[in-house]
Amino acid sequence: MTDTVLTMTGVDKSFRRTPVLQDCVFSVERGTVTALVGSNGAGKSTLMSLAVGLLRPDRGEVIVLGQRVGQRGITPGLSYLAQHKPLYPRLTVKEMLHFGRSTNPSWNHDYATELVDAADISMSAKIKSLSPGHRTRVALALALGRRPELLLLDEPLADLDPVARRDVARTLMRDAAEHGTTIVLSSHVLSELIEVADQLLLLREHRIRLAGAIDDITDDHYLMAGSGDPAAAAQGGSVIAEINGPSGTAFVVHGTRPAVAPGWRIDDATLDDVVLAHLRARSVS
Amino acid sequence: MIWSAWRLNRTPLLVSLVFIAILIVSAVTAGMYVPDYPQISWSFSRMCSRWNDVGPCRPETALTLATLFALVLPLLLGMFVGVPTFAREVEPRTHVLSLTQAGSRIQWYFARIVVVFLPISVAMTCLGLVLHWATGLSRDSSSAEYGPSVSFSWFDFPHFETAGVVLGAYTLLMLLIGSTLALMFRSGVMSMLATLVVFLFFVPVAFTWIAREHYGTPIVVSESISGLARESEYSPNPYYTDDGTWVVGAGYVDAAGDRVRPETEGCATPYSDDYLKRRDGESDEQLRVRSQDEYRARADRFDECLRDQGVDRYDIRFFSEDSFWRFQAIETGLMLAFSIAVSGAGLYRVRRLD
Amino acid sequence: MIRVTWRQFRGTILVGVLTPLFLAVAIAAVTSVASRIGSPNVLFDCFGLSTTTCLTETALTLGSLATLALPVVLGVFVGVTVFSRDIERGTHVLGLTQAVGRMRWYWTRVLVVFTPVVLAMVVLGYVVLWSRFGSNPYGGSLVDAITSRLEFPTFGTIGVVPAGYTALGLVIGSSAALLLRNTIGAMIVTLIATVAVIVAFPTVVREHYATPEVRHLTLDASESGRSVAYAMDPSEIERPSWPVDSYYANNSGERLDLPSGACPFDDGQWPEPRPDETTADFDLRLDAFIANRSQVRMDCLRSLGADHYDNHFFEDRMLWRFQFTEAALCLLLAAVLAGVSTLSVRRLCP
Repeated sequence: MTDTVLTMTGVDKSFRRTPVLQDCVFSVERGTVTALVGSNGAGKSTLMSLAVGLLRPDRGEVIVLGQRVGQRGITPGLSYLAQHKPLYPRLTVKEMLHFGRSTNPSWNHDYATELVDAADISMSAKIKSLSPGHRTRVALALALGRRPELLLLDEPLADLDPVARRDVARTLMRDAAEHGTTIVLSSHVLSELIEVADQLLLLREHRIRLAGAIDDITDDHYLMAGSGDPAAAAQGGSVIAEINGPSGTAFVVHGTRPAVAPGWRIDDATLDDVVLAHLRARSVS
Repeated sequence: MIWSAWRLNRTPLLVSLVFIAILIVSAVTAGMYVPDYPQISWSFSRMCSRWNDVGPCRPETALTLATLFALVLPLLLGMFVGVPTFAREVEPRTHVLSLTQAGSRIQWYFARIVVVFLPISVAMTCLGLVLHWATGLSRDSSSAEYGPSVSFSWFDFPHFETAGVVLGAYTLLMLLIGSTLALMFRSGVMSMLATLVVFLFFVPVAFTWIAREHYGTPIVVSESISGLARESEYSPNPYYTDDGTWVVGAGYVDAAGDRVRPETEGCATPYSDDYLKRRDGESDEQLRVRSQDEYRARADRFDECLRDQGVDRYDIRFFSEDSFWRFQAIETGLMLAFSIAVSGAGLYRVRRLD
Repeated sequence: MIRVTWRQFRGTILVGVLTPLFLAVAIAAVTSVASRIGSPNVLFDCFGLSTTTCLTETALTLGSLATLALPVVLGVFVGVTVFSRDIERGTHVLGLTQAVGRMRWYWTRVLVVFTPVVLAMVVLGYVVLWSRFGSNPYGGSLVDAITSRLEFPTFGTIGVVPAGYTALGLVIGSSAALLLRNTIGAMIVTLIATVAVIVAFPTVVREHYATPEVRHLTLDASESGRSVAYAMDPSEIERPSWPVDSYYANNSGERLDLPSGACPFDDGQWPEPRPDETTADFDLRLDAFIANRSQVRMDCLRSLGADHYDNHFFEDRMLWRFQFTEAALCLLLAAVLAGVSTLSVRRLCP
């Protein structure tokens, strides 16, 4: 019995006649960690803003935790960390957590404090004096302190050094494991996400092109290296794009592997290959 | 929400309240010293001319400065408190943080109104009432020749605007205008400039200048034409009153009461050659009677000339000073109505904020 | 560098230049219309809050007072924002890391943005001068017939002085923005400081631009209570002069500080015309009473050591000398302040 925490059906969004999202359809199941991937400007932030209620879709429906997203404030049980990590610069860290406590009825102050302490951040430091890494940690503590069921993170690892990135990833994994929090995080750097996520959503040219479990996705694709017309050799699968691999150029194909493909070498596709190919592909439609 | 509205805006709120408190204390202190100097009658702009003058000019200076500040404070508060309260969060987009906590956008908006704007407006209302009390104490004076009089009318500028209840309403309106403009423009500086423009050319300045005389129906008193006296070199000025009456219009009218602007140049007839000059054998009494007769004849001819142009009488339209509180109430109500409209526009912008 | 600065601050410069010019055009238009339909002698004579009276006159008075407020407004919205916008966004780093160097970045910006604004204020000052004193020997109003052009507020609205105040206000604004690095704080400081400057000049500084003329009045003349005859021909009337000091002096010319209330006029018993008295007789009696009253006071003053009464004043013909002195002083102060704030520029860091 699947329990979806976030669903979008037929969602369109345009800014001044430029379409950003068209006919987006996907759903996120409870307890999963989903990576939202797309090139710069693909619409990842817009998608998240729609889920949170900061923007309203031109068409379609957004349902979070069983409720339609509206203007009455963020759905209880949903937490959001925006890309620019909004915090009040003149407040101290302690006051920032107090803000979280006084604004949210379901707030776990010990948990939030523990997250801040684990990052070695002084409680009396002013936000504007913190490094970008520490700011992200405080903003994350604020988001997690609400004890959300669903956590949306917009490029959370962007400003972080490798050590901080590892720590943040570990915090998220721990939270998902201990409390069953569903996590959706976006990034345009794939390597960070692979260790963390088990589901993938890929946005390209205003639509969701790939959605599903990462293992399933990689199983559905394979690499073909060789010469000739790849479409013929694919025998029913669709060729996504050509990529440069470690052993030369290869084509990424979606479909069942052909039993026999003369002149072609068939290999497993890694998630990197699949995502790169999909991001490169030019749409026929 | 309330706590964050306080914490983020506590500096401008406290600075404003302290400044208003200083003005209130100065006005109260001045008011307490005024009875010691029964001979002074304060009017706006009386100040000590030298730095260490003592005596009655000190409370006068305090009242002048307090009134001056009260006059500009609504605009300054609108620009430097109203605009930043929202621009501070909207310009760097930290409002996203507040909008993604528990609690709706409407709560976010009203938390700031209630925590920051209302206390300041209440404080300004208190200042207005204190100024009314303090400046009213030394208004009365009397002279042997003219009897009791007041040195200014409550309807005069700047007293109507500062010495009454309407001061708080102006402040609330300006704070809301500043905040709504900040939500619309998202640039603090543009919003401040726009606040200045709205203040001068819309509300409250331009609006009250034009609208105030229409809050009620003026009392009309008709006088005789007396054209010669009115057009003379030192004619009595109907707009100058010493009992606080506010004259909104005075002029020649026709029988139906509509204004007539007659040509007065050609109506004066020249004096005779021996006007006020003693003729041979004339006594003082005869000279006086002859001069008065000639003056009266010239005045009658002047009035005839005006009547030929349609003039029936001279009407003075005015409001007596006891309409003051009624007008204050009406203007306060109007400013509050504008405030509600502006706040509604602000709420609309908040709903569409992303 | 110049073109880049112009491009970056196009909007600000246009606002700063067009506002004074627009005001100047409005004043010029109202003046030429009003002087055609009414008498030019009463242009500034009345001030009414009702729309049925004095509309033109009130508009002109307000317009010329706006000339006094403009240096403050321009200082706050142009002077401060020239630097505050960059500092708030952190983009001042861009200017500091180019080949031109900090000082050139700073001076180019100050000169390119502030100079057109100051020039526009020169135009405005001359338009106000023409509007108020151009065709009318009385000056614009009753006020101008009594108060000298050298005094506040008239002096600050005419000629080159508004431009001087504006230059100072702009530099105060930019210095505050560089020093405080907080936009609102800089705006408030600029507001207070520019107003203080505009008030300080007439009250403290202006009377020292030259040595005032002194007129000695004998006690006879100063206490006589006689009214002064006035000329009816407009061309004979001089503009009023600016009194800066007046006191009783002893016979070596030193100032005497008389206690207040010393030697009061005896105002107890003004004569009333008797019923059987002719006017001529009454006039004689009245003159005798006034003369006696003055004599009593003069004797009292002499007993306290007073010998004559001194009036220190500046005549209206000093107007242009004072205008250029005050404008030069403003520009000098502005240049010094701009120079001092280069220290802030040196300290500027991301």
